[in-house]
Amino acid sequence: MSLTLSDLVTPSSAADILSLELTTAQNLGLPITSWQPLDPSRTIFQINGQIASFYSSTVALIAQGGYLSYAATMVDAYGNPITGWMDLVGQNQYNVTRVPPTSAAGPVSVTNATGTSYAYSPSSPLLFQNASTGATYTSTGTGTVSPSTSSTVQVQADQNWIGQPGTSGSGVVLVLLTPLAGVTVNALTASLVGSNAELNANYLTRCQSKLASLSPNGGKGAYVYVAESIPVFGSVLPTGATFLAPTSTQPYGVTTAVTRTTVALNTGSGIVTAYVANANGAVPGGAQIPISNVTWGSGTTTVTTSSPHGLSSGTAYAIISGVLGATGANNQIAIAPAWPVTITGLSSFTFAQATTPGAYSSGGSVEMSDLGMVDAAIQAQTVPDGMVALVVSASAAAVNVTATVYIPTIAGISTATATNAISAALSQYFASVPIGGVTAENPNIVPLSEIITTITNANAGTVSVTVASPASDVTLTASQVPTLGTLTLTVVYV
Amino acid sequence: MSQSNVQVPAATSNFRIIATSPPPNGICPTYLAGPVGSRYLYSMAIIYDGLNDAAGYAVRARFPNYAPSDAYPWLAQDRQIFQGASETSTSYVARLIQWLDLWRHSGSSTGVLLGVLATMSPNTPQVLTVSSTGAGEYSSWDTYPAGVSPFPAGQTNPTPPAHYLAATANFDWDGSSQPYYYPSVRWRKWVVIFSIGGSPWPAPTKTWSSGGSLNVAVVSDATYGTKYQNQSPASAGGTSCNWGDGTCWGWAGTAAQASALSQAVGTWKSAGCWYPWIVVTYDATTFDQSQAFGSAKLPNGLWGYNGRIVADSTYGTKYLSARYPSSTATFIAGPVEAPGVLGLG
Repeated sequence: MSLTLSDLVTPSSAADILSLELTTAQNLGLPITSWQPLDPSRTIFQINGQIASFYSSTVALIAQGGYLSYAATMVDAYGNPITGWMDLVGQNQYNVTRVPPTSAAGPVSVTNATGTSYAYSPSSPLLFQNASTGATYTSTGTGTVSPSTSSTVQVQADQNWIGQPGTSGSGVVLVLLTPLAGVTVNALTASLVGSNAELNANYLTRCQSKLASLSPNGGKGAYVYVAESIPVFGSVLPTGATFLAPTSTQPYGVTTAVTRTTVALNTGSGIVTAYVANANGAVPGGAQIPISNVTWGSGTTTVTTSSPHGLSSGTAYAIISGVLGATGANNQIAIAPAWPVTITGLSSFTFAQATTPGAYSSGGSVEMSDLGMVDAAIQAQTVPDGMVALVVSASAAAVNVTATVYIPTIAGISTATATNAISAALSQYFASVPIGGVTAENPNIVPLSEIITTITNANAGTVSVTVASPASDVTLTASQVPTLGTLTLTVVYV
Repeated sequence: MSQSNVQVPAATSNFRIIATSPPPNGICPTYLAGPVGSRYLYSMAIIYDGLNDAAGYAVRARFPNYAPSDAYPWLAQDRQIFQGASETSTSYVARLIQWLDLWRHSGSSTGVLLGVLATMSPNTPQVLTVSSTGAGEYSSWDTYPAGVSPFPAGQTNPTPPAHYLAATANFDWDGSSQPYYYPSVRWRKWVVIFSIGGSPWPAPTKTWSSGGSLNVAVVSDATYGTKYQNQSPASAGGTSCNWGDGTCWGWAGTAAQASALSQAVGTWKSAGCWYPWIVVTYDATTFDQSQAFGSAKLPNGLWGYNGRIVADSTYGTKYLSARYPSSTATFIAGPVEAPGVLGLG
């Protein structure tokens, strides 16, 4: 008799096995209903049934674990996804590892009312906290809180708040823990979104997409796989090492994982456009930005670009190629996978270089920050000879939400806590919407029903939700992703 | 059961025999080998036989050639190789085993044609892809003739389709169809399936017939200039013009089969190539690569959006005389390329 997979993945209970044993014994003529009280026969059968039941569970796991897609559906006794089997199969069968959780990161606006300038750096950072969730954030890079004006500080959630718990939604006002006299924190204009470890479903899709990369002919899946498999700086690589900076063996890295990719063909031109987005929405940086000048002095190379490179401040990694004259600025010639650069303007940046790269004559382009890294990886690993592919960041479509939520007083949820929870929940939901939205009753939408559901589920016990804005489904273009705009919330206690 | 020196778990365990037999053939002590003792042992040992067999099956179920059929959907997801609607288990298992070799050919004519053939399996009609580099240049034809098995079990590389390069382009779909349907498009390929003698599909019966009427709205379109769409009141007449019954007009197959073909092409093509149409022809003499441009057996550059351009007007496929090269071809929309672009499937 052959067994089906359905048989194999269904463990037998101890009671089932005991029943089977007793039935067999009875069929063989044993008096199973007339054992004396101290007769050990039934107990022996019961013990045997229990042992066999355990073994049966192992058999079920052996059967299920043979398939990546089945492993993706496995849950424990409480319904929680089991990730271990899938990690094993994904790594051993596809050599693809799960994307680890990432920290929430982004800009925080502060206003300095004094005439004093406050410098910060990795050794003397600024510390922030979300008063509702407790999530703490630390400034990244080096900068200054300028006097008598507003400044933007880039922050990242601390290690204890890695992943989704570190999310703070747009509109939240963080608390500045570092004592700076006269400095106040402004409401977040963009959500700080942290991502948990890659879900089984996304991990499965990436493994499946990898198959297209086996061919040199540039299937759609190859673009998706490459874009979404670039490791995040600070994450632990499959080798066990922490990925801190591009290396010769791991030349591409991003500050925030690319989680969404769509591949569109410009029909007739043969040009493939890969739109990419991360949990925050748009991917920072620029792809193949033309260079107009390269100068050098006192150990610093200054690069000017013909168009904005996509960043306004801070530090990043950049890959330069094709520069004529100042050829030493090209990473391939300098034998450096990427330059750690400091942004000095919308179209300029600098990096340390001990010797002059030469006198600039013409040409060159730069792959700046995350978007540049994704482009460099796709150009190197996916695009067939003679074909043209463009890597473009999805654009963020801010969705302003005005809603009223009705929460039982007995739930004991403060207005601030409720607002923060809804802000974080909406930010997470928008971060999960595919580029171009979903297709339901209409194509390219963010369904209003999902927005209502997200708000409802954000605070336990919520009785009702009314949403004044958006009044209907939000329509996106094919290259947009939604982000949380202004959240106007009224909490009514009932 | 073994292959070479690799031991595959046995399909049947006999622990119940060992448990109830005294040495040297078993392990049962003499005092338990009697009629009562051996029945006790048998009742317990048979459970372990069952478990042992199940464990063997559980190990083997991940291997396509040992997998039960209800494991196929999981193997399909893992390997992204999907069973054709009528494909036999034998054929499908062979393709599951060839998954890495098949994916190595994705984005090529070979990959696309193998995907299309699998969708139609066990039928093996003649199939081809064709593209042109431009007017007066080259046309490239890749053909699997009818009845072939390009990638049989045991082979590690598919037999490539017969390649023919027409040094003077002989395939021109719509190069002369200005101004409507020829926005200088390149990087295009077509799949042609020869459905001859009723296999895989008979010539369509559900067509607009003489005497029927079709109420259409003529609307402008950003890509194609003009397109035609059904409008109220619903069309009348014709032989069979029902909406939503799973059948198609001008196509004896089902909507699901058309969708499967389109999906197969979309899966196996290169991201940079556009397949505007999958053509099913019922005339074996059409799409003849040996013909020169201008032959009645080849498109004449006036094929536009599922029709033919005559004197700057589009004639739908109901106009038999205008359908070129014969009245017996079906056009299935290619895979989706860009959301919202009409006709890209």
